[in-house]
Amino acid sequence: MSDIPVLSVQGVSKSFGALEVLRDVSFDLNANEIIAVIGHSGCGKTTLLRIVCAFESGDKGAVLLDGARHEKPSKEALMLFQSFEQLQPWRTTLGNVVYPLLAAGAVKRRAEARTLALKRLADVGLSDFVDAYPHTLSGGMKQRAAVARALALAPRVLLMDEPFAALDNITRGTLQALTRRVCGKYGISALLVTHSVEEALVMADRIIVMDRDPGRIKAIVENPERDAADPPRRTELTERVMTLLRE
Amino acid sequence: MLWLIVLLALWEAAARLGWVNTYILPPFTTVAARLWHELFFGRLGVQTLNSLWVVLQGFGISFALAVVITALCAASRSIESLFNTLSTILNPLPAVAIMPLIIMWFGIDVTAMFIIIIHGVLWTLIRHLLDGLRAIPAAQLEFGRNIGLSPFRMFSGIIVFALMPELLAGLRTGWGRAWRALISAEMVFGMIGTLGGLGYYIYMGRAYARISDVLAGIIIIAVIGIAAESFVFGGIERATTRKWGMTRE
Repeated sequence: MSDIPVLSVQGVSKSFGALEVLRDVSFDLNANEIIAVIGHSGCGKTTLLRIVCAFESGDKGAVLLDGARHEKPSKEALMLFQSFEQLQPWRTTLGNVVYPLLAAGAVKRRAEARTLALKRLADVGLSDFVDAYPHTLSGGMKQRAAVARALALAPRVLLMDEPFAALDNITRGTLQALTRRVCGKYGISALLVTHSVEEALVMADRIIVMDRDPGRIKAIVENPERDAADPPRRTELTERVMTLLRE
Repeated sequence: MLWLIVLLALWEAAARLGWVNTYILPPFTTVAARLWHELFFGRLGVQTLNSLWVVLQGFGISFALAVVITALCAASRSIESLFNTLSTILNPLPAVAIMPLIIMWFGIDVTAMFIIIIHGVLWTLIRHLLDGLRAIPAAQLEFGRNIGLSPFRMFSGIIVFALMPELLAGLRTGWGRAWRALISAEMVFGMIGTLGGLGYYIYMGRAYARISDVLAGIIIIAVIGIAAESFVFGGIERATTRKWGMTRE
């Protein structure tokens, strides 16, 4: 089991009509690992994420989840969206976590789902807001609730499409640290699509730098110093990724 | 409510103080007394119930048809295109304009009434539902897909709730249009059944130059409209979309 990557993307290519969006993209995501995919607009990183999620299918190649083909959307590869509207406004914060647990069949009994939901909401610091409706929450709190919902569903891989891009700097930093911490706590691997080199360096163990026209992997950069507060090293890595992006 | 009292007081004063001819506008209290008498000792009560029953049935049929047609439009672009063409042609046609045709095709009976009401309600209600479907945030639908919801759960757990603001807006507009259609039809068709409805009552009031009857009929329609807005649509809105922050105060 330990030899099989949680997620394996193997030679995925995708075109929309005459437009080649992705060419022969391959990488593995290991257990407890976070990989960031970074690149210019139009490099196919969102398409890649949607193929991994099975919202779209690739023209060539395969996506394997725990060694098995992943061709139909399932909660095992769960998307965390950027939109603040991903929560259901007609349910409370608690309801937003309980409902998918029951509807997806992850938990059979309501009381059990409620207990689990309360724990995950506590993980993201929303214990005092379980009965609040989403429209009364700030953008950052909504994203925290979405993270709690994702954690409760216990996916094998969390797919994040610039989930914090619409937040202010301070809230974004807090949520990056929080998401990294809870993914580690529950052993959830994650694939993060981002425009921000800083976000990639703060959150990911490895960074995939994408080229465009067509989208393909230019380099995979190790980020061993992710948790170290080492500004010179961080600056060096930032420069390296920025140079790759500029080339 | 305060404005309503002010307007009624002005009406009373205008008639009592001779600002208007009481033949054209009798005092409100006179109309109210006539309304009370007609409602409980005349035919107006039964005629009101007749109209309410017809409009509720017509509205119910329209709602059921709108749900089915919206689902078909959502499932097929060709059907939506057909709906758009029909809606563009038929929606602007006032009920009165198609009444002669309906009479010639279906005769004068309650079926014709239903058709007139359905024509009044259907197009606008479907338009609201289709707009509502398009306005559902993609992230909500994709989340449902992501966790593998069945089409039934997708509908009952997400789409129905997400549609609520547009559904309520469509029902509100549709309710008003159903009444307009019904009253016009009752005035044109005359008495249907043994006593007819509110439109027939108002029509006969005009025919016998009983202005208090005409005004009494209009007041009943207005009261039903206010009750529907306050207790039905307003009540549902306060308990749902307003509470959820999907409709602004």
